[in-house]
Amino acid sequence: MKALCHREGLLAACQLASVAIPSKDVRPILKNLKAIVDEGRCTLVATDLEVGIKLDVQGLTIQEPGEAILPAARLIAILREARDNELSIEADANSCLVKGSTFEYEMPGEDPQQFPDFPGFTEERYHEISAGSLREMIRRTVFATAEEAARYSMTGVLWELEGDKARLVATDGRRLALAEGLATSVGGHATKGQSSVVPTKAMGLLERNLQDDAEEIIRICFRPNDVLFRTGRAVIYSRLVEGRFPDYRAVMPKKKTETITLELQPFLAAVRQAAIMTDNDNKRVTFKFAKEKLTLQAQGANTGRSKIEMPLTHDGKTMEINFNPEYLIEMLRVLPPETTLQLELIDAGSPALFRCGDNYVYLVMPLT
Amino acid sequence: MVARIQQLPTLIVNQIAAGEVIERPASVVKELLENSVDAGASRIEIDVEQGGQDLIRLVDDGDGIDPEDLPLAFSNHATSKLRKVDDLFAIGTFGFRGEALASIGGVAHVVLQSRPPGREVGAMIECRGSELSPVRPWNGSPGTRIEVRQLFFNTPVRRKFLRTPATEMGHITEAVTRLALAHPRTDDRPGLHLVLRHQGKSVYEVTRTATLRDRIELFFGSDVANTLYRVEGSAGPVRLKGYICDPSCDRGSARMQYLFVNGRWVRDRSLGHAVQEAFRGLLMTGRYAISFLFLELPPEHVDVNVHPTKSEVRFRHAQSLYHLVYTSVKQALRQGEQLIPRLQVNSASEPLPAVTEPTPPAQGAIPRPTPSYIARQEESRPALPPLPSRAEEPMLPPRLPSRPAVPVAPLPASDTMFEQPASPRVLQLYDCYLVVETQEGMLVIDQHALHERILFEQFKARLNEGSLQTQALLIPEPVDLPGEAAGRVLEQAEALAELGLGVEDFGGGTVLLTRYPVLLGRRSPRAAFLAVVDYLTTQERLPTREVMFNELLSLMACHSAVRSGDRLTPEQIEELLAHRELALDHHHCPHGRPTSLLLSRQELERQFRRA
Repeated sequence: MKALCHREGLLAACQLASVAIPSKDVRPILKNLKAIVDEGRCTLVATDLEVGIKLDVQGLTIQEPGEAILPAARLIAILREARDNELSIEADANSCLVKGSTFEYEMPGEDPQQFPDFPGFTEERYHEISAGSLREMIRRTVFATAEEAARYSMTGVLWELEGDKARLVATDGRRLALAEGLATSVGGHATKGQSSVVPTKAMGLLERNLQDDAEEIIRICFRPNDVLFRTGRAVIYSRLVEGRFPDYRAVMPKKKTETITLELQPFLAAVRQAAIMTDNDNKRVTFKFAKEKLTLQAQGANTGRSKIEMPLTHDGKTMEINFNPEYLIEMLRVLPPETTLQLELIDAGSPALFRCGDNYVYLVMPLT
Repeated sequence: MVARIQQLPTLIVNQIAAGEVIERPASVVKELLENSVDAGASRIEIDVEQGGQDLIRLVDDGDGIDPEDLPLAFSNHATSKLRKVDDLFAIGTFGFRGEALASIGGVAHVVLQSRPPGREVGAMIECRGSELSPVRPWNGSPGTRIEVRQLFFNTPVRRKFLRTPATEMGHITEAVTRLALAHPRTDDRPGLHLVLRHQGKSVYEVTRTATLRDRIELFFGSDVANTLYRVEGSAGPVRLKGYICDPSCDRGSARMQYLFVNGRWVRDRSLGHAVQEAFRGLLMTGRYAISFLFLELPPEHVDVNVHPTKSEVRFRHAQSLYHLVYTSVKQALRQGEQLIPRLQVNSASEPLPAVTEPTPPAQGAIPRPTPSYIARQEESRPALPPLPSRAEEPMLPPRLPSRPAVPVAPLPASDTMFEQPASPRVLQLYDCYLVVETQEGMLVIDQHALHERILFEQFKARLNEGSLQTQALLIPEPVDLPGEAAGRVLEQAEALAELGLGVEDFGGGTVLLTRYPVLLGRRSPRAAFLAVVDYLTTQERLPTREVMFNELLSLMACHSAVRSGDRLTPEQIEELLAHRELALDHHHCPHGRPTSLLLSRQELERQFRRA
């Protein structure tokens, strides 16, 4: 292949695609990007065999079609350091040549046929969601996924696509986030009756590929073992997380003792202030919801004590409950600042439920 | 009028006797194996079905039983191994009481087929709950073939107490292991060939050419076999031979301490204690050495007629045997080069001939030339005759020139001993040790042991304050446990709750972990929980609450502490050292290992001839 590239455009594309590159050296060739150049089009491919992306690159003048393997880390470094607006890339199975007005790099090439391939988006049945709505749903859930491999089935986000409704659920066993949005089913696509947990890494890759263009429509197709996303400029492939995702409906509280209305900004500020006095061993912040007043208190072993007060529009029973502030802050910061939350409490030992509008629910277990 | 006292019928007599001798299928296997060995067999094959509840078949190539003796074999106190009372005090055979076959016959359906090698044909007899069939001719190869079916068919209670086939098979395997270990190939005789099959599948096949070491490897794996030290010793007519394992290869119970007296496996608390004493200081509390010891002593020195299954014996000179075992094991341990923690002064090819097992610090002690390892052992066991003082020499690796030992004292208890500079210079070695410069000298800290200690005290302090924070789980984590373990854990749910671990039954050997201590941070609650389960299930009886909490806390601390091999950032090191000041007993980890060693500045200067 041979092409004249716009430096910044290519750099952005390489950085975006390289998110899929494995951090560990499993197969050395996966540390690279594969470039596929044919008539009028250039696609960058990256994969770690679990997750993969095929990203279209704009702003290229194609001189010679073909395929090549590009060393990702070095190429990104070259593009970042170079000052030219345009540079040329010429690569084949033997070498990869990058040239600008004042520089020239030659790197060894590799056989493009050795690079593993994954399916493209050819399905007729899929769901459509607008990029804006999808971004919001992802941001509101993905932080709640489990990190430990021990709870493997929770290391991703559960997707439920039925008719005109999309639902994303994530949990690590201590808290659970559920976001809903509008979607359009094409050709009767639905996730019912199949596993549909998408690994956290693929969710991150997808989110970064969503453009700020309100018109962009994302197509999603779940297949028995994998999922494909088609964004405006990329196809993202991911294997699904195996194992049974917990039944989130079963943990939703069936009753409530008190409902408290909270303004997000002052509440988040108060939680952050109180959390200053927590430390690694003492995560407990005590929330006391009294008449017209919320008091937050924390005490660390070596840190000291904090007591924060904020006004509250509440005239029900006084409720006291302890939370790990991290679990609240992570949720509060992904919501729009000018939001009103409803907090539904049962007692100090039962899960607390935060509602934001009709389409977001966050459930968190208290500390004791 | 009917007499109220009656002679019991044979069947009942045999069933009563069976109650003592035949406890489970493994007892049948043991008795039959010993009979075969007494009959001079060189090859024994055992087939087991359903853990011995359906079938135990044993075929040997021994002397066989004459047809005319067959009915007698099943009658009580009939034996070929004993003739007169005096013989009883000089037993050279495994059996002598004449109980085994009668007992087995009383509680099972037995077919006994035998042909002495010299005879043209053999004969067979059946015995079903002490009822004998007529003797019929049998045309088989020389030796004895015995089949035991429907064990405990007439004693339903005993049958009910049998465990799963897998458990019973485990006991059978243990019985075979003991016999196989007792008959290895030696210089002057071939070993016993043993084949054990369960459900038609081979479990073990021990060939006659396998030596004791081969057999140990076969049964216990190369981990054990590769760390063996030979044990040899004698006192008068008594000989001791066998192997012990390096202390690095230890176990959580004494089950791997095998003792054989004149080829017979026995249990002896006193000699077991001798082994443990010889390992004292090399094993942590609660850990047990592995040993395979064979005592040969004149039959009149030991009374085997103490216990129906002969698993316990009485020694005439128990005290001197204790001493023999203790000193021989001790001697063998000195062969091991890596036993003694040494602090090397330089990395050059000539390490210093240092020293010692760090001793627990005495009150207000200052670093002092530590008494040698052996001397300390003597102190702790004054009852023993003192070892020759020369015995200190072999302690040192022989290649080293004799130079003064470097005193390495663990940290003294008092913190006033040395003041840390404001920010001490620290070096991490091997991702495992921290070397700190202090006023007193060079301090070497085991990062894992120290962190373990710190966490332990934090856990404990929280527990005492009653402020152990726990995180409840929205979605409890299912943990699969072996059935027995699950029950054990649930029994202890209350104690676990005090440790911040919530458990609930999920059924089918699965328990749900519903809450965990916040202290664990990002570390896996599951791993800490499993460590606790491990402890609960390996302890034979329940410890006191206090002890259990200490143990559990130290386990949790151990599993959440930084490991050796973790590279620490300067901030982490700083934090660790800062916490060290706060910990009460920072000089030893909860298991009693030292967390730090001090090479005093004085000593450094002396070593470099600067003084």
